[in-house]
Amino acid sequence: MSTKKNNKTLILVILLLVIVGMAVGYAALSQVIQINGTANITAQWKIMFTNIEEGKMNGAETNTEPSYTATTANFDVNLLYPGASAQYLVTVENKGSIDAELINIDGIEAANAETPTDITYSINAKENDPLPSGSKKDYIVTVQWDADATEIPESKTKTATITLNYQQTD
Amino acid sequence: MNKEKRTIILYVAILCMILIGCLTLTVFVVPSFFQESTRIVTMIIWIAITIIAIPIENDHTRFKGKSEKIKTTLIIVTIYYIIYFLLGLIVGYKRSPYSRGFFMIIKNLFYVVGLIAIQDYVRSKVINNQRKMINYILFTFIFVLLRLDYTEGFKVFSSGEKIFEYIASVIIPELAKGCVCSYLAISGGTLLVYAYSIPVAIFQVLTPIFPDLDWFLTSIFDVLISFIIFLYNNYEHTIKTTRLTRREKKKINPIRKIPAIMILLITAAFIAGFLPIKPVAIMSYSMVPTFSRGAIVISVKMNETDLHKLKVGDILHYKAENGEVIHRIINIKQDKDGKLLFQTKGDNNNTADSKLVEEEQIIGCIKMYIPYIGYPSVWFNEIILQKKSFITI
Repeated sequence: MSTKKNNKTLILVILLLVIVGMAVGYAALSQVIQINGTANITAQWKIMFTNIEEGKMNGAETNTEPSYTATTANFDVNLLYPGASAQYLVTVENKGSIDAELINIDGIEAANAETPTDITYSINAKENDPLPSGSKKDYIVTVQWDADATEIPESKTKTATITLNYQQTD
Repeated sequence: MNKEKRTIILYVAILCMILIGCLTLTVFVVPSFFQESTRIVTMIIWIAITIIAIPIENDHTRFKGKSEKIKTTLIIVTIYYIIYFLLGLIVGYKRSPYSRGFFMIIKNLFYVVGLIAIQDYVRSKVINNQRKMINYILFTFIFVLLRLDYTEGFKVFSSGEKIFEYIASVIIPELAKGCVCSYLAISGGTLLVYAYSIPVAIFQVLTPIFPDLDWFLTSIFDVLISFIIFLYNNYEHTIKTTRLTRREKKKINPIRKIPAIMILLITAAFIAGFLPIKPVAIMSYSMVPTFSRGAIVISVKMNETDLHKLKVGDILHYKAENGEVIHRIINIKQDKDGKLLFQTKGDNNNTADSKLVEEEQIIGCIKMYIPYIGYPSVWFNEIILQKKSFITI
């Protein structure tokens, strides 16, 4: 029985060492690990989209009604000529009990670098924007066809995935 | 009923009322009025309940082999987290919402781990006060209610799909955790419950990244760890309290259940579509006579090379605007960039589908067909999820 007890202690120590090893591995590889968004691991953390609506439209037509889920907001717009633009108002709400702040915005630069480069996206959100518990914030997402564009792009479709990454406020 | 029994019943009733009052306060009232101070107020309420729970007397007769049970639980929890974390290498990772600042980590440990420690202390005290099944069920139920997520309010009942997701991703895992915590409280007291709940809470606060698992897999893992912890602790308890022969001990050893658990996991992964092949239930008549409604077809996932091997006559499984579709390829074209475009048609339809299918929409190619066995999935989708097209089981 005593050998069995010692075995269990030994297994436990080895497993804990494995965890320490994994932590060291993470520390070494943290710069190269691909991380996508923020995990929803506790009910106290509830940051979600609660609305999306059409804003100013200039030479633009909405193809399908804008829609949203807790973590995604979608719109599908048709820009008719160079200089045309469309704005959509998205509302982000902190329904949890943890104060949060916007740590970064992913996807805008990558989307703008893709062809057709004359069509660009922007959002009026800034890094470190606070979003305290119980509060909401409206952001304007703008998609614009460059007014100086002289050529009509081969593909008029351009999709973008913009990620707003929030973290607990320090 | 003697006086002592009446006193106990009265005491349990008062505790129930206090816990239900706490549930109403901390879950529904405090978050609406205190917002960022919710955690502080909730903590104060729970500290008050703990003070009330301290004088409750406990029956320790079932705590035999407690240290062995604690070690077993710690080993299972550690192995679970090693596997869980390594899964991220396959599915990717997500960052923790918790701040990485030193003082914030301490603060989170206090609020998250501290609250769980206090709650499980109270759980252990009230459950061990009276070893009756009704006591176990009642307090397990109250603690499950306390830990459920109510932030979505009545929105979770807005559609059959949402109700199903809430039950499968929140209620069932919390019920499994609640049952196992209460069982641990009975068989080893507060420290044994801590062996399970505290490492889980510490892991949540300290880990900077988490595997990017969807709710289905997360639920399966949560239920599975609760089940394994119960099996092993029950085994430890049985061999400590009952005289068994070596053969009998071998017979009840949970290691014998590993193949069954593996089969269960593989089946869940197959149904959920995490394997290269995926079962799909046919809900419409558009492919009659090739597939009847209620059949199950096996969709084999495809990569870019496989797409170029597709030919007219193959049956395609693809994403459309209103869900997923299984139709036959009747023509293959190419766009300006050389990307493949597939024209499809249901065998029972008079005309071809109006939109061409692009490479990005393709999920797989149909390779196998089993009639009738998909009806439960069809009924589930139509009655519970209220979907009219077909969807995977």
